[in-house]
Amino acid sequence: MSSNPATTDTLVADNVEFRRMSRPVLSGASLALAQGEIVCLLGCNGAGKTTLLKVMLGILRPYAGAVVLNGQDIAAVAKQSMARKLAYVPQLHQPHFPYLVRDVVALGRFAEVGLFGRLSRADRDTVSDVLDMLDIVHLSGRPYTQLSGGERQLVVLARALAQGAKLLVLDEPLTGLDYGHQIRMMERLSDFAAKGYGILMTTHHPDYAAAIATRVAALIDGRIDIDGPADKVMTPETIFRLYGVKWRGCNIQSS
Amino acid sequence: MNGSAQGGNTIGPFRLTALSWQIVFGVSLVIAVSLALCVGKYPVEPWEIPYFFLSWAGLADMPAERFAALHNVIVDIRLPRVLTAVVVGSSLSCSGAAFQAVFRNPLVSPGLLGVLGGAAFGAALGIALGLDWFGIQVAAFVMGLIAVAVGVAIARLFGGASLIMLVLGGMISGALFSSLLSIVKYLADPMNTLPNIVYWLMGSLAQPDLRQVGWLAVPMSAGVVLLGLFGRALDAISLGDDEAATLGVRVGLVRFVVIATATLISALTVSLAGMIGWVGLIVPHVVRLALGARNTSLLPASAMAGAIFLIGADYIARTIADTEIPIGIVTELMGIPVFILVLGRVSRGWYEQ
Repeated sequence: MSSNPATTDTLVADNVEFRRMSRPVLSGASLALAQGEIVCLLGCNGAGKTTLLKVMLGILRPYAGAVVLNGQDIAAVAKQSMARKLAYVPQLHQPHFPYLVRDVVALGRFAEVGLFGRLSRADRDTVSDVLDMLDIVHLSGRPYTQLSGGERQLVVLARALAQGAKLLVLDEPLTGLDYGHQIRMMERLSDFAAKGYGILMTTHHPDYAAAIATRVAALIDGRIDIDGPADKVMTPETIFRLYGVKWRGCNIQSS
Repeated sequence: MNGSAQGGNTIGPFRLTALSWQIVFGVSLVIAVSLALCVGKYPVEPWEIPYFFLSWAGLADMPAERFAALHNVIVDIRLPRVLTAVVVGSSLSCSGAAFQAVFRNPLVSPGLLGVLGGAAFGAALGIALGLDWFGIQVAAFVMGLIAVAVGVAIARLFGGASLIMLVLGGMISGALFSSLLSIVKYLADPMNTLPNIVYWLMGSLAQPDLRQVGWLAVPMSAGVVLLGLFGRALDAISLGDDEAATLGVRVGLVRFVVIATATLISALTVSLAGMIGWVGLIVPHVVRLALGARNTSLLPASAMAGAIFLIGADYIARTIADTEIPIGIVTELMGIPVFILVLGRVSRGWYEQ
């Protein structure tokens, strides 16, 4: 699990630009993620956080600039090999069909199994391992649609882990969770970073970012204007620049 | 199989494993086909069916007189009909299930992109122009594809290939072709042509002979099998395009192949048997309630259940009145109570299992 520096996976957005309907959303944003880090991406509503994540995941293609995974431009990397390195946990949303939890998690093995393949014994073992790792084995046979938001978030996280990727990109993993689930999710993410996973997440909670992030980055006017260690960057000035409010400081203790 | 079926029955809600459901549907389909070959004005004993087919294949020896009689009843009259029911029912249900996954909407049916409306117009045009049966088939098939092409083109004109634009494009195209259909109906000779158009649009399994069904059964079953192979990819896509892409699915490719295949086989159902509504919407729903949402098991099970459903509907169409009722009417009438039952689940949460 521990990261060997020689084989550490890295994902770098290099000066990416993106427009929606000719309105610039990202104008030269650069951000890096390596194994072992938790990078929290802050930004006000509509700043383009999700867009940046989607560009870095290869879902959206940047108009200019490049996203580089382990030294290779992701535009040239096959989706299947990317899925082994990089996993995505989207924002909570209502699923459409009542797939069972184990089937949802098993979809994490898609890149390994291939389009027409079947799950092997090893794939099934991986699925039960990640369910076990997140303490959700008891949900395995339940329809995904019947779960609470917090449980669903864990299922999608389990699916991401089942991909075997060491870099995880999470879009607002704390939104929609109650206070207890938020704290537990942050503890989990810290554990994963300690085990060598690299985590890039957006959040609307600067206090949480301060508590768990190894680095905090802020997206302002389509650029990463602020990027550094949490204790250096998380100042009242940063918060004022980001949200236009006065801030009393971090009130969550890191676990 | 029996053991697990009983085991499932004893624990509250009716629950079987996906595999035993496949076996249940498979066995039911064989029984339904055999029964459909037996029932009718000329009585055939159930045991005579395998006996007859064995004799036909040269593996058994049936008295020549009986063989000739059965050959006439089974091969010339009933088998084409039953085969038509099987391929049309399975194609409509399987493409309905695939459409529902691709469009992430359990209320979608294969006609979503306008293929059925286009095919109906093509067939009506063919009838009005006095084409032969084969010509009508071709016209229906081609117009079905043209209607989808128009829908997709409209979607491309604005916002590219997003799902919502595809749906709206399909609606516009469907409306266009249904108004074209009205024009053909209005202009058609009300004494001869118009009734033919109307009957044809109500659907019938009686038109094709064995050779015609045999020909079309090949691409249609191939399409159903192909859709079935995409089960896991459809599971992923139904979670959302972005999620599927990051799981390693080539979303654009899979979506294109699935929509194209489902559209082709739906268009073929119209050219084979006219408009048969509701099957593609309802059957996947019912099957999903039985064995869960996973497309790897849902698609093959829907294909078998759709075949059974149409065989049953055809039996009703043939026997309920003195004259035969168009099967499209029967499926619509049967579809309504089934849909009400499905709606009953809404009160307990739409997506619950």
